[in-house]
Amino acid sequence: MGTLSIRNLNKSFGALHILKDISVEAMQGEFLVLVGPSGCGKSTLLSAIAGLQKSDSGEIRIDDRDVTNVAPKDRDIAMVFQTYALYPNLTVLENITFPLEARGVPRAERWKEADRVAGILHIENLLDRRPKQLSGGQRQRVAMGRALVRNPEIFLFDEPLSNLDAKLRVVMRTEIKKLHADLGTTMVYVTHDQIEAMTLATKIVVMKDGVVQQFGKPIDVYERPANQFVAGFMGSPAMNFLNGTMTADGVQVERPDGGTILVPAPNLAEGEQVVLGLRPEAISDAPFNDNGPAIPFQWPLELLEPTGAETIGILASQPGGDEIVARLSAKPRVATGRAVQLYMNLSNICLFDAQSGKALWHSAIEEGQP
Amino acid sequence: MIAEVVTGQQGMLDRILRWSIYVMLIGFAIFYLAPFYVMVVTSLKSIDEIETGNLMALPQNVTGYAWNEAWNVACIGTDCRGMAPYLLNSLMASLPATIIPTLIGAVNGYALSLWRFRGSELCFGLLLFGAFIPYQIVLLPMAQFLGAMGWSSSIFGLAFVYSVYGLPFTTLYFRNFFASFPEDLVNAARVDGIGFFRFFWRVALPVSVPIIVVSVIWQFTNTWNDFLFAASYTDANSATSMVALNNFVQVATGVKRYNVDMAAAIITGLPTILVYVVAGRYLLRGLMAGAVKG
Ligand SMILES: Nc1ncnc2c1ncn2[C@@H]1O[C@H](COP(=O)(O)OP(=O)(O)OP(=O)(O)O)[C@@H](O)[C@H]1O
Ligand SMILES: [Mg+2]
Repeated sequence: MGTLSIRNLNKSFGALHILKDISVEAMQGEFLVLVGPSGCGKSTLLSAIAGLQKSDSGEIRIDDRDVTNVAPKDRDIAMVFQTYALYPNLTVLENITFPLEARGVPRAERWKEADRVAGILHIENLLDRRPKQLSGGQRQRVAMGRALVRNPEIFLFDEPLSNLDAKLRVVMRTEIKKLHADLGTTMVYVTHDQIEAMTLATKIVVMKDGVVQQFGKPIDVYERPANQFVAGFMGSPAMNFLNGTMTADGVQVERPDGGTILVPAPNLAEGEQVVLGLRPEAISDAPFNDNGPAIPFQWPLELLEPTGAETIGILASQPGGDEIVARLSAKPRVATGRAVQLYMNLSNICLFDAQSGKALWHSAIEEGQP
Repeated sequence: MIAEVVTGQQGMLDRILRWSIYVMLIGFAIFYLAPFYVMVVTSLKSIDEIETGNLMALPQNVTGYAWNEAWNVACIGTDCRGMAPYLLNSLMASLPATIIPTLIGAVNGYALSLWRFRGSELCFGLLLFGAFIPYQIVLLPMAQFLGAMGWSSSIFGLAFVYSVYGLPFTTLYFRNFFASFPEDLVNAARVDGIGFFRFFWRVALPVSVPIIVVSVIWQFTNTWNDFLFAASYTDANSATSMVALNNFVQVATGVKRYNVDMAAAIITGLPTILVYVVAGRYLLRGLMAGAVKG
């Protein structure tokens, strides 16, 4: 029931190799989110799952059935498109029931199904309207309704929320999550928004340039990123990267105002250049009381940006390095323009190879095997 | 102050330009409408009045004589039944030659744009080629073909020729229209299992009304106004109104009855005018039709 398995999938457009050896698995009821920067091949992968585009090599199995060469309509999938793709001349009711009509379902039953779906999505009062007479959010619901009536094994979503305004996006995000909880159907969801990915997914596939960078549970992807790209892509504000040198006692990090700080870490290769990955929430102006081990350190503070619930602190960057961001308390008692006393939470830090960007070590413990 | 002066001058210039455009447009309109005006007034005058009076003058005594004559009595060759039967011939040739190529062109354009297949571009290229073959080249071979099929001198044969010749154009119109059709709609249909023809009837065709109008106007006026094919492939019985009008005006002996000629010409041209008036509203919209929004 509703399992998806992709093995060594490759796809090229002419000389452009878009999907490179993609392998991903989803169990029944999984909410699989494909996330990555624009142009990395997410939509192409989803099209391949839907069967809208033929892949060059590799295998796609749905429900343990090889569907690699099966037509889209026979794959038992339903898809919600980024543009919603509602049939412009048909009413909402006709849009929703059209897939059933094509499958020869009798009219009375079609209407019953439409009622059921309209109830779930709260669009009962829109059934007579045409797409042109709907708002973006309403169109989005209708597009989901058209997918829902089909009762497919797998739902495919291609950036369904990207055309909505920020507020509606959050509302619909929650609704989709509820829907998934109620239906328990396997879903594959494409987005380039890492927050959507974190909030919705049971498993995340992070892609870049057609290559799967990491495949795992959201918390693992967040706390134990496989490489510097994943670490930088997931999370907002993004993870801070500090250059350091491996020593016997840990990583020695140079401060922009001279001097060094020592971050305890296992000695992997003494003398090697490494990158220390530090989430903004791992830096605080107050001691981390019972949140695991922490060390105090001094660092110059440049700017404070209060947001109400917290204050974003901009720390001085290392020579040639990126901006360093810390999530400080709502009313931090620190002054800008000079080195201040900060604390570093050691339970959530990563080390990356300075050359390859590959992760060498995470202090967080793995939640579960993907 | 300076700014005001400038805008004042610009306002003046603006007005002058605007008025010269109006004057020019009105001039052109008069230029194009004048012949039609002459036709109408002449058709309502008696022969005496035409011979003695001014060409541009309104009729002194309005008479329906010429219209009755043209519609019911006028002789084409030796056959004196007026224009009516030939109008019917024209209609019987033009109607199928409008509907059939429009429908087939719609299916063609739909398939060539939205359900691409291997070689669909080549297919379209070859079809397009048909649009650039001058009529004169096919005149003889087509006559032989019609003869071989037993369709010579028949309205059916003429409608067939019109339909075949219309296809490249109607296909071109529909293909270009559907080229801007959202790809996701077709993808959605494919995922939802909505077949080629079901999608065509329920979504693609209803959405393409503007381009249907263009195709209908194009086919109807072209076939209705055609003289070359009609003159070549019809006989006295199957002649279209264009051919009949020509015979009537050219061949008539004795005194030129300008009023009857004019009435006959207006009758012949009326259906196309009608089509423009009814469908013209959509024509511009169709020619400028952009994307269909999902
Ligand atoms: N039909 C096509 N022909 C040629 N190249 C294509 C085609 N479709 C997609 N591509 C290319 O494949 C790459 C991946 O495209 P894809 O649409 O999968 O990206 P994406 O990850 O969905 O991006 P976005 O977040 O912007 O939607 C892009 O570089 C794109 O230009
Ligand atoms: Mg995409």
